[in-house]
Amino acid sequence: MHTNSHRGKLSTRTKYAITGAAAGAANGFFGTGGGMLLVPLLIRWSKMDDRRALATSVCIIAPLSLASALVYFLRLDLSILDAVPFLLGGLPGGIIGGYLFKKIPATYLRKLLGVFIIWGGIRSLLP
Amino acid sequence: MINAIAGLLTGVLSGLGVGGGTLLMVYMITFAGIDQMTARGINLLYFIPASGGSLYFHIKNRFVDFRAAIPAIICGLLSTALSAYAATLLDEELLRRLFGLFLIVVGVREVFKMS
Repeated sequence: MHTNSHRGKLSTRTKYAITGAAAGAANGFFGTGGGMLLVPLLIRWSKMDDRRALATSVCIIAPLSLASALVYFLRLDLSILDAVPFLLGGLPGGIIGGYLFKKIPATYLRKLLGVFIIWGGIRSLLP
Repeated sequence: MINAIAGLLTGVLSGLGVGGGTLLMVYMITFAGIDQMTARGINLLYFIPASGGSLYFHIKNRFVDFRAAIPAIICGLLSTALSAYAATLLDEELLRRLFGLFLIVVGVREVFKMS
């Protein structure tokens, strides 16, 4: 893949950077929702394969979430004890998800993502 | 503990990349009685083990595109920092609703595979 594509105005890497910035903006403003922009952007704008877009989005959101989490916990003086049960459940959950990932057709995953995006949108509209 | 089970179930979704976070937020606020800001913080932190667990497989299966991930992460971190600061200055309500509208459009296009 060329770093500087002759087609279009933006290089591939610039597109990835902007995509990441968009996800980061959602992450920074709302604490959530970054991943919801990432996958459609990667697939439609950067022409990434469905499955790779889903997996890559997980990889991108992880450090962004960590950074935001640190800010939240430190500024709001939250107790990590409240988070522990969710963390303990999340780890095996993530492992299971990672294991199942390649067994589920990518189209189903995309549609499921779409459903969650719609739901996220509706919830964001409500007070 | 029920919270751990909730984390487990949404963790599977998060690992699949489809977004378990929204579900977990609903669970925390509606059923676990956690306040919104705390829930957001927990949601962000929870994604670390959830994504960590799944990334082992994603990377092993070579699904992660690092040529995309690395520039995206670098700019994403900068953007997160700037946005978190800007959020304190702007009208969050309005932003959130506009974002909500945008998400609905994006989501509908994904579900119905429109281009």
